[in-house]
Parts: sequence; C-alpha cells; structure tokens
Amino acid sequence: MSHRDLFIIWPGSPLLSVLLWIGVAVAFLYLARFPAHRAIISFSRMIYGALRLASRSTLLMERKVAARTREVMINAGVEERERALEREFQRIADTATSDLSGYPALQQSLVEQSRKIDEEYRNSTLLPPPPPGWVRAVEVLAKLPAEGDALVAPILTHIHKTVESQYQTAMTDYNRAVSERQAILKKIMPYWRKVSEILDEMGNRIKRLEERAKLVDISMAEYQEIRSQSDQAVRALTASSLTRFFTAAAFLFIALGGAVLNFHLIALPMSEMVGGSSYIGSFRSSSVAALVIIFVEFAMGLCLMEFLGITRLFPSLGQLDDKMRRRLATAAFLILTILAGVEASLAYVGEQLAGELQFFQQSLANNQGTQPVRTWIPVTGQMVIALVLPFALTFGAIPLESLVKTGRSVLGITAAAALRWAAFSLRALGHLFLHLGRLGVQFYDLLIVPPLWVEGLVRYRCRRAEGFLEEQVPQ
Amino acid sequence: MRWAVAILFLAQALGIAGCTEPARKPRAAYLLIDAARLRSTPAQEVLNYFLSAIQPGESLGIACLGMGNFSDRDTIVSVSLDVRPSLAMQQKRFLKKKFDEFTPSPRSVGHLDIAGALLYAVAHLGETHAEERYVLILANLGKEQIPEPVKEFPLQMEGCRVISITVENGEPAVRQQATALKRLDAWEEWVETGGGEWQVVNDLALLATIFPGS
Repeated sequence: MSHRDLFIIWPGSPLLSVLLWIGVAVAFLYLARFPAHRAIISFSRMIYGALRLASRSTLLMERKVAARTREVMINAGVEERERALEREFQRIADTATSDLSGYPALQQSLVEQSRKIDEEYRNSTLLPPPPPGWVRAVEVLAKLPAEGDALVAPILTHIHKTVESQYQTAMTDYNRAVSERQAILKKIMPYWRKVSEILDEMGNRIKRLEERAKLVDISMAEYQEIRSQSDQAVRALTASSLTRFFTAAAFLFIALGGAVLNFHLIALPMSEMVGGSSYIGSFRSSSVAALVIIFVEFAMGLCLMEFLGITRLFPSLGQLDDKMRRRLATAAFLILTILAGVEASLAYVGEQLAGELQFFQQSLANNQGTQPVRTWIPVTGQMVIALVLPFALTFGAIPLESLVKTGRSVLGITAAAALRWAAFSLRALGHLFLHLGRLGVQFYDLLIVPPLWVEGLVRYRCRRAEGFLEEQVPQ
Repeated sequence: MRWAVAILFLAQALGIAGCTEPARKPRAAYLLIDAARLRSTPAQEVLNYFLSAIQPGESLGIACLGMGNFSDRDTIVSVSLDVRPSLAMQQKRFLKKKFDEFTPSPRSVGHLDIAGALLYAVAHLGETHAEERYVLILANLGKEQIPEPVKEFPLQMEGCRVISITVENGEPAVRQQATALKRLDAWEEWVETGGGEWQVVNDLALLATIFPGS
C-alpha cells in the first residue's frame, strides 16, 4: 500500500476521492473559520505592530541624527563665521594701521596748507592807498565858472591839470595794487588743490573702512542668525555644506590624480635607491618608498598650510606662538623643497633608465642596436613636473580641510535621509502586511464559499421565520 | 578631525597602491641549449625573451649541451642580476655578449647528457635560493640518440619547473610519433618522480605566460 493509496477514499475513483477530500477540507476550514480569521488578523497585526515600532524607532533615530547634524552644522557655521569675522577685523585693523597711520601727517599737511592759504589771503586783503581827499576839491574846482575872472581862470586851469595828473598817477597805483592782489590770489590756487586732494584721499580711506565695516555687519548678521539657530540659517548651512563637500571632493580627486602621476614618475627610479626586487608585504619596496615620499610631501604641505594659518585642521598647531610657527613653516618649506629636488633627480634617473631599457630592447630585437637619440624636452618636462607637483599637492590641504569639515555634516544629512526613507519603508511595509491580513481573511472565506452560502441561506430563512412570527404577534 | 585626515591618507595610499604591481616571488632560470641549435632562431628568441623578461635580483644561467658528459666547461654564463636596474641592465648586456662570443668545444663522440645537465642546472638553481626555478631545455628529447633517464635514480627537483622547448625554426620538431611521445613521457615521469613539474612548449609565445616579464 503506497502513500497515495492512503488518500483514496473511494477505491477505483480518484476523482471522487479528491472531491471528497475537498469537501472534508472545506468543512474543516468552515469549522475553523473564526479561529483562522483571528490567527490571520493577529499575525498581520503583529507584523504591522513590529514594523511600526521599527519605523518609530528609526524615525526617532533619524531625529536624533538630524538634531546632532544640525548642532554640528551650527557649530561649524558659528566657528566659520567667527573666523571670517576675525579675518575681517584683522583686515580692518590692517587698513586702519596702513591708511589711518598717515592721518596725523595728513592733518599736519592740511593745517600747513590752511595756514599758507590764510597768509596769502591776508596778503591779498592789503588795500591799495585810498585816492586822496582832494578829489572832491578837484570836482569842486572843476565846477567853478572859468570865464568869470581872467586871473583866476589860468590858475584854475593849472590846478585842474595838476589834479588830473595826480589822479592819473593815483589810478595807476591803484590798478597795480589790484593786479598784485590778484596775483597773490592766483598763488593760493595750488594750495586749494592740494587741500582738495588731501580731503579726497581721506574720504577714500574712510570709504574703504566703511566698506569693510559693511562686510563686518553682514558677517555679524549671518553670525547672529546662525547663533539664533533659525531654520533659514540651517537650510543655508546645509546647502553650503553640500556644495563645499562636492567641490572639495572634486578638487581632492584632481589632487589624487597628481599624486598618482607623481608616484609613476618616481616609482621606477626609486628602485635604483632601494633595489628593484625586494617586497614589503605584497608591494615592491621601491613603490612603498615612492609612496612614503609622496606621503611625507603631503604631510609637509599640510603642516605648511597649518603653520601659515591657511588651514586649521590641527588646533594644537594653531596654538603655537607666531615666531615658532614661522620657524616651523620655514622648516616644512625647506623639507618640501629638498623632497621636490629629490623627485626631480629621480625623474631624471627614470628617464635615463627608460632610455637604457629601450636601447637594450632594440639591441635584442635587431641584434646590434643603436644608441637612443635623447632630447632634453621629455627629461626637462619630467623634472619640472616632479619639481612642481609636491608644491602643487600642498594646496590639496585646503580642499582636504573643507572636505573633512563638511564631511561630518554631509554624512549626518545622508544618514538622516536614509533613516527617513527606512522609516517610511517600514511603515509602508507594515500597512502592506495589515492589508494582506485582511485580504487573507477574504481569501479564506472565498475557499469556503459553499458552506457560507448555505449558512447565509439558513440564516436568511431563520430571520424570515422570526420576522414572520414577529409579524404574526401584533395581529 | 584627525581620524578623518587619517582615513583620507589611507584612501590615498590605497588609491596609489592600486597602481603598483603585485608581489612576485624571486625567480631563477637556466637554459640548456643543444650545441647544434645554439645559433638557431628559436634559441636566439628564447634567450632574447628571457633577457627582457628577467628582473633585477633574479638569476639566469645558460649552458650548451654538447656531445659527451656535461661539465662546467659547457656553462656559457651564469649571472645573478643586481637589485639596481641600471647595474642589472649592464649585466644583461654582459650576458648577451658572453653568449654571442661562446664557441662550443668540438666533441664528436658520445651523446647529449641531458640528465647530467639537468642535475647541474637544478643544483645551480638551488644555490640561488629563488622561490621559482625554471630549467628550459632546447633539445629534441624525442630523438633516439638521447638516452632515456634512469628511473631508478630520480633527481631531487622540488619547486623546479622543467620546460622542454620543442620548436625548431618556428615549427614543432617533435613529430607526433609514438616513440618520440613515449620518450617525452619518460622524461616527464622522471621529472615528476623527483618532485618537479614538467611542461612541453611548442609555441614560444607561451613563454610569456610561463615566465612573465615586467
């Protein structure tokens, strides 16, 4: 007797047996309907609850991460604005020192010019001698009738002539005096011009200071906005962080390309120094040595930028006094220069080696070989690149600082966004399970449609019978 | 802050390290060339290939297989290259020059002492302490004149790879004759009994996969 025979209820008719089994199953499902419904609903609700809980936890975590990111961004923004303000104040101090330091001299010059103008003006105000009082007498004499007395007439004529002559002389003196005054006033002109220039210069300097002050005002307003932790400030900081992060990443990618180029320039010739057959771990010693040189250069570049105050990655270095920082910056620059020189030499050796190798390969190929024709252009080019790249890589410290500082914010923003999506997905999944449970209940009922139909019919009839009785009672 | 800088340094290191070659074990090769083929094109090609493929710090030896017992006189040149590429290049030139100047001693009687030459080559390669050791035989081992190895006296060839190059003027020399194949099988069995690896190369282009260059 096989296992299949166990399920044959009606021997000789498998179809009938199957139908009987279906009937049994439907009957069982009908009897277990309510417990099964409850089980399905409970199961779906359990999953829904668990997912909802997970969603809430994720959302809480997202809020924590977002709050922390906001805090980090605000702190970074405050620090940055403080730094900007500090720099702006420094610039104002420099401007005040350089521009207004000459103010006493300007003032002195202005006073001097005023004194000269005053003096010249005074000189110009000296009046010419007034016309003599006898002018009126001349006028009186001129009005006397000349034809009255023969004796008086010639006298009067003579007096008239004399007076006119005196008058002409007086007028000439007066005109000369006026000309001299005008000449003096003309001499005042350059002094006025000088005064005007001095005043313009002072105005420009004051204007520059005003512009600086406006920038300080703007920075201060931004600073206060960030300090107030307003949403607008946080949005601005978020956008700024993302922009700066991706810009810095792009610049660092370029710097990495430079580092790779640098590596290829010095890796082969480095084997002349450390040997070409030894390995450290799974890497050739010469490659590791080249890598170390590039790292030392990058580290020196970082230190140089730190000591110069351009970057602030290491607060302890920034706390050193200015004299020490200058010394250390000089030392870093010297080391960088020496390493750049070493790289240039290595590039030269590398070019020599490449030439030798080419010559040898040629000699193997044609069994005699000709000395390779070497031009100075590739050698010089390689040497210049090897010399310049270490200094160029130094500037990689600036995007590195930006990347590091904005990286935390960007990481927080990304994590918060991911958590938000996870929470949403979990909640959506929970709802899906809840509805699937309901769908499962409906599907269950679909399987037991015949008994349900019978049940409905019976209930209908019962209700109808009860209704009939109820209708009969009042009558 | 500092950890971030450290991570970036590490990323840079990995980025640049990705450009470097993988580690290679030190190698040593010994070429055993039949005197009759010393100036043949395949012999020149094999030598040229090895001269260009061998790296500083590795070793290369060349010996001529003449008639009669193999001895030191049959060694043409043997050099362990310096670790500095410039010096290694000079040594390669010297090696090539010695090979070109070499004249095999006339010995008309006897047979090719392949087993003796192999013994010598394996001993020499053992002295180099190279991790990968190659012996290349440019001789027609399928010839009846060459005696088969004595199975009762196997060589100690652990870590040694014996490659029989059966190319003559660009064409496979070993005809698909049953006897020749049988003799090659005997050599293979002898080498493998001694702990070595055996390989027959009919195409010189395969050398690039067996003994890759830089």
